[in-house]
Amino acid sequence: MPIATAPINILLVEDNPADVRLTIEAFKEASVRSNLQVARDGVEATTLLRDALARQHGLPDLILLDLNLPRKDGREVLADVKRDAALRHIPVVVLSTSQSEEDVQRSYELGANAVITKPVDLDQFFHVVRSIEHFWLEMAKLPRS
Amino acid sequence: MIDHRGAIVLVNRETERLFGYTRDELISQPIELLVPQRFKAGHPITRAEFLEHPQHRAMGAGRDLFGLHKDGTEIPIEIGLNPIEDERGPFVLASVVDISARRRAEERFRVAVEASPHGMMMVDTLGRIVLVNREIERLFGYPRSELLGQAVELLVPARVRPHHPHLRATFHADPLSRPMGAGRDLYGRRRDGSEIPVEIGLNPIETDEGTFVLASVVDIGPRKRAEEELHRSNEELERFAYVASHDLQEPLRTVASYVQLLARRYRTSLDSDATDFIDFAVGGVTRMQRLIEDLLSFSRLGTRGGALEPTDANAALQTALDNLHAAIAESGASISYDPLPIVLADGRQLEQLFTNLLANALKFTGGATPLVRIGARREGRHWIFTVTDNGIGIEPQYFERIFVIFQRLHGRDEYPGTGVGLAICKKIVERHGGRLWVESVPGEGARFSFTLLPPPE
Repeated sequence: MPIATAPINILLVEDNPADVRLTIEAFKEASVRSNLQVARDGVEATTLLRDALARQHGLPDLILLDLNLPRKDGREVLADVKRDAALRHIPVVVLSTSQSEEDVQRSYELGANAVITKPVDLDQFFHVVRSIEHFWLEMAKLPRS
Repeated sequence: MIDHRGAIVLVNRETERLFGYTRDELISQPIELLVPQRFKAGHPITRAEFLEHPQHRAMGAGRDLFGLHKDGTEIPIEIGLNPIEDERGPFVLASVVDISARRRAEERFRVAVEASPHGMMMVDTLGRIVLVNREIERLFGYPRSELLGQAVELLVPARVRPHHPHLRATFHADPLSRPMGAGRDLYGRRRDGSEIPVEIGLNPIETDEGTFVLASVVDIGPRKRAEEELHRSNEELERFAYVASHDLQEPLRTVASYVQLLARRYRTSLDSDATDFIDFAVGGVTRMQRLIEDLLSFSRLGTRGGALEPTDANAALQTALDNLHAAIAESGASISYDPLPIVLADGRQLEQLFTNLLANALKFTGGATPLVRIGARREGRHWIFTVTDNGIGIEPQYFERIFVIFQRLHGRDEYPGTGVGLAICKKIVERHGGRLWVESVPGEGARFSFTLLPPPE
């Protein structure tokens, strides 16, 4: 199993502190070491990415993105990332509470690599995070910046 | 009959009765005796004019005529004049008809029309307005003096005006009492040019001048506004229900997640009491989540409903059976059904209706193997569908209550569910213009029946 020798950088874009903490707790149980960075809204996320680009250092290997964010909406962030040649390669997993077909479709159209509905049950949520780890971090070869 | 000097030479019994004189009192008297005071002076001139151009005709065309009774009262009359040539000179034979009864009837009609809360107007064979009431004056903003004698097209919006005479002709070709313009929105044009939405009822009235049309005109502006308001209010309600449920779910999710995280993280240091407490807490949250989802579904039945179209009930039933496939297999249920008709329905809601009724039949079994039968029979204008089971049944005192949202008859441990299934069924059936009811003997199963309409011919 290919395991990255350095910890994986994950950018979590999520405004709900309760959900942030849940995600952090879930990743604690991960078999792969990861650095979790949190942006609380779309503007923070964009700033973070631009800074990392400028410094040539610290770009995330994976972005977990909530769609409903204050200030700058998650859909806009998604569109920006996938439009930018320097950021486009980063896999984006959309975590959303919305179950509407239109939202799911739209996310894929904007270039999301995967769309996951935030499950109601904790075990399910942990399972989702483990699946993300397993697929993106353990199985798939991630493009390294 | 009178002679050329205007003296009465002949009367009949009806004349005596009509004017209250004996013939002896009338013969040789001037005819002016029977003419009201205000017409007396002019009457000889009228007679002279008649003798100059004697012809068989009605007297006083267009004017109301009156006779003077012996006791001084006036009688409304109609007079026909017939010149008679005789060697003794010209005579005039007048037929006099008492039209008091007719006048009274006309007066009653006029009073009724005037008093009507609806606009009423009468239009002659040429489309001219001959009668209006106060409500018409108010609706259209004209005093009646500006309406009488005018073409009715004056009150019709300009864009419709050219076509209106044709519509009138169509009505005259088949004059039946009916509403005007079925299916179309009708508008009237007020004096100030503004338009009002109206409903118009047309009634043919036979007169001796031909078939006139009595039209009732109702301003439906207020009703239309109320309908629009209701529609808007329903949409708002649905939007509210969606937002509320969405926003309500999120904190519930947080509570459930963290309570479960607690359990997971401190598993080893928690005693059985603690895990019990956690289970109750999580159970409560889960129930609340389901209630919110059900409330949202319920609120959407009206606003998210599809159009009613000819729908094959067999297909809807099959979908419901597929949905319940697991529950059917698990319970070993035996389900039988008649061939079902095509009905006027929203396909998805019909599926939901069957699903909910069948789910109940499979649930409330009291441990016995479910035996369910679905049937349909025609009664008059409706199809009556029945879903019959062999389950625990329902006591008569609860026959109404079970259809109320969130009403449950059993403990949560006995039978799960939020108590919304039948409320949804009822709302669906009522949306389809039908009725839903139950017959049952406790311990002997229940039969749920609902009515649906066939597609229109």
